[in-house]
Amino acid sequence: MQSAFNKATVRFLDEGKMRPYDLQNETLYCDPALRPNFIDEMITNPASATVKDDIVTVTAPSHWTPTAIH
Amino acid sequence: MDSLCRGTLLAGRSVNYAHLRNGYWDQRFIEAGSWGFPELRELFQNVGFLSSEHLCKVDISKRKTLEVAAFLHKDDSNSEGLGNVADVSTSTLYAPALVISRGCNSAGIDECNSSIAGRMLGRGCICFVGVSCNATAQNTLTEVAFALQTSNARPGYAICFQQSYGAFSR
Repeated sequence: MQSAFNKATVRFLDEGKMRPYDLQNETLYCDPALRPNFIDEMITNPASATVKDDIVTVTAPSHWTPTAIH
Repeated sequence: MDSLCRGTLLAGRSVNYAHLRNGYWDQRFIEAGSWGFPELRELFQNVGFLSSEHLCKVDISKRKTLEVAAFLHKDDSNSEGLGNVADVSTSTLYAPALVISRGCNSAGIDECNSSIAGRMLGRGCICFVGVSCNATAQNTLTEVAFALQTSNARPGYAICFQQSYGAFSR
């Protein structure tokens, strides 16, 4: 029953499509008393974009790293 | 009794996170399982985490404690075990760590009586990200985005969360 409910929920989030691989099935379990503390400080700068009036300026990352996707 | 113990552990940890950081575990992470997690490795190192170890089950099971801030895992899995890392019988204790697993059904707590997600959270981890069904390639993009947010911090702060009584949120 629990498993069936879970699958029904995931497939509802997945626009009701029945398929062996659902896209919307990422799940997060976490202590609800916790909240991450984000601080912007990277060794190399990521890509960024700024908007001023009608001009969008895109800056490339300062460093590229080829990564194989498994 | 098991629930009372886990509840006590959870409450005890929740009020002591700030005191648990010691400059060692909070700067380390591991890649676990057969395949490592190259998509996330660079993200963590880019915010100052030290180079990762790549550990498998035989290595982890030998340790009484595993003091790292994050597990980045990819391997065939199910709701009762992270492939080539741990299962519901594991006795290893963990630092307050973030777990990101790319294994199928790793977060399927509805499919078993004793889940690997519950086991790892009960033995020290504080956050578990996985999938409740079969994993897909798109999940990797979600995990990279999540890790980019959570690792966008100084070592330790990335996953040594502030105490709060709200839901997990940015």
